Amino acid sequence: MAENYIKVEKTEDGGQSVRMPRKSPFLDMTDLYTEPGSAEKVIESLADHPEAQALFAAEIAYSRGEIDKVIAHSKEFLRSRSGFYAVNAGGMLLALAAMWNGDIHLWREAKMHIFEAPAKNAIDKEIMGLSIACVDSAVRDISSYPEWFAKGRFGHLPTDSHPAARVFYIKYLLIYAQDMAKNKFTLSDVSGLGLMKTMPYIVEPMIVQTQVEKTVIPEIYLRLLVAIAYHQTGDDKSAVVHIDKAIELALPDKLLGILAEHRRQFDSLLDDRIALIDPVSCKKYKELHRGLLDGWTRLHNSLLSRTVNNSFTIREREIARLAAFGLSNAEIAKQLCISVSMAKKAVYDAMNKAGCNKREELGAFV
Amino acid sequence: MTEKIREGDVYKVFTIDNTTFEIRFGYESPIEKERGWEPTPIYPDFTKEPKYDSEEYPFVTVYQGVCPHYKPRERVSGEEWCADCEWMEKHEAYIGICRCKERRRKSREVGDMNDDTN
Repeated sequence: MAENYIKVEKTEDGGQSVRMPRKSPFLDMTDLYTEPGSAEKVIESLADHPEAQALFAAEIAYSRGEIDKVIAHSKEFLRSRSGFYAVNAGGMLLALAAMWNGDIHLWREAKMHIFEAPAKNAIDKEIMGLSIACVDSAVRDISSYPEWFAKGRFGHLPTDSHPAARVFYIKYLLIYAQDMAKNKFTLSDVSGLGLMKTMPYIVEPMIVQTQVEKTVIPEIYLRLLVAIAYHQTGDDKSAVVHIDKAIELALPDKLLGILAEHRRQFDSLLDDRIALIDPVSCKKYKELHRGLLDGWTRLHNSLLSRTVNNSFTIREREIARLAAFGLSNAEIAKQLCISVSMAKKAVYDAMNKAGCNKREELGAFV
Repeated sequence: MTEKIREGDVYKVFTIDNTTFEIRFGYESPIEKERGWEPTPIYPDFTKEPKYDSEEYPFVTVYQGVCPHYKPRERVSGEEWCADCEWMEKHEAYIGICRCKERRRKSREVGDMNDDTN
């Protein structure tokens, strides 16, 4: 069970700040939450530490897609102003909630809270910069990640935060790999789908580590992220193994928000697996996703002056993504086991809808 | 809320010259349905079953692969499909007529010994 301690420290301005039980931006990604279905018990166990309890409850609400609760808790949390980790976490949660709602004003307000978190030392400041980058990556902007993090060098961060750091590192890597497949970046000797195909070799050992550490939410995220890499490189058999395990871990505490966050990347595969296991939860997860997609698209398009297209059918998006990754019509047809003629037609449909003159331009829309 | 499209629903019915096309929503293969894809308008495959207009020019689809007589327009997509060819005369939906003389089907000529009207 969670080790509870409340240590009240004097801050530089003579005030008091409450020390959190774990030095991590996300308490629910630490060893406080080790068993699926135990979320309510963990919340109860933090009764002697109201601030940690409120933060953990807000994080679980986020993982469930209960965005109104997240906003209410985070704002209350930030109003009472406390130590660095608490304010940093509150700001991140509020920003992610703003993403779900497509609220650009709340997004900016939340990032200001992160900037204003009472950093005491150089490590706190690095964590602050990293938190901003993690929030930006939620709208697929990876430009603000510090170089040390982009190279996987986060060993100097407090160990409590390593499970969360690994999740964000893989999220960063996946976006980087997808952009590389769309020819936005190149690394010497690595191009196209090369990095995407390498991702399982990096993520699979990390998943083993989450099982040893018993950190449930990092395990769910890492399994979904590696499953995306498998699915988008044509290995649905391996993708399904990880999807099914992620669902198994998420359902006991109804963490449908995490599943909804990733729906679009799987085309119809995640829908099919959830429907097979729990049709009632499947309906709820789809509803959550519809709301998230609407909010995310508004925020993404207005922040980055882009035009992600949500009018593609599943067929068009799946094929357009592969076309954007540089696959020929024959390669697309082979990967998806369809006719070349059908692949061509779907590429034509997608280019027509997006108003693209060339298939490479589809990358901006998928 | 738009009504859900079902397999077999009619997408469009239209006539080009001497031929009426009835395009329905559907799937080319069972795997498309297994993937959870929506039904899509299924067009005729003119490469397998050619059809011609009253002047013996072939019907084509916009996404059909080009032939050796391909003449690219000024601004092309790089896909090498009939949509980018100068010979293609676009009509309705994704169907057009190829006006390339080389692709015109040779028909019976006036004065042919086999012409029953003679």
